[in-house]
Amino acid sequence: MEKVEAIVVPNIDAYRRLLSKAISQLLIDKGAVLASHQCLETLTQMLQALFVEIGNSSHHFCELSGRTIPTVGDVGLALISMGLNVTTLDTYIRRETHVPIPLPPQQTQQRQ
Amino acid sequence: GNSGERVTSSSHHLSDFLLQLEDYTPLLPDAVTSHYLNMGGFQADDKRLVRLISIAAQKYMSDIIDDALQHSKARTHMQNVNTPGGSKAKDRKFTLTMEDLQPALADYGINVRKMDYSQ
Repeated sequence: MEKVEAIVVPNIDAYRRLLSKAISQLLIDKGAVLASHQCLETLTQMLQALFVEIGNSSHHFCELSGRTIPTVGDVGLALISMGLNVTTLDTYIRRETHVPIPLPPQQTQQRQ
Repeated sequence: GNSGERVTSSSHHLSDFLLQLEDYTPLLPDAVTSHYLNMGGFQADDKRLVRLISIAAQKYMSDIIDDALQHSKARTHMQNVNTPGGSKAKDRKFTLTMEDLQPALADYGINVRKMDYSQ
């Protein structure tokens, strides 16, 4: 009979932790060495909601044109309709250089 | 109309931009971005689309943080001017608080309000 393994669940999920890491990285790059917990949490939540909403909107634009695989046009429409400026993105990636956040190492479950 | 043309030219611009994203890594790993996009029902095989969204969101957040820090700079500058003999130290280190983030977000049309029960 297999032993029931206790899996430690961290209080926030790994994806969200990486989101807040990204926000922290942006803050440090801009020269903010400290941020209140509330600020960090607000910005993290905004980033998460932004991703979900862009995904949702792109998906809807895609289905509206009778397709299932989203194209760059769908994403573009979603971004523009949400008021994000897409014309300045190429200057942005040329100007700002970031060190990408690595994915945390895959954890292998310990069996005893 | 005019706005329609603008959208079309933006889309052309965007598909050219997409070609550059093959070897550009955004701040967030693609897996994280895809996870949240999937929550909104978005499923794409093309990782360049994921990167495009990631960069757009990254720029948006970075603009907001910039604005908030501008507010912070303006406020601390005012304080230094008002207090005689105040620290004129030009340390370019800032602390971000809700006091500065709130007006910056208000400029973007986002209303942040602390609930009565929160501490």
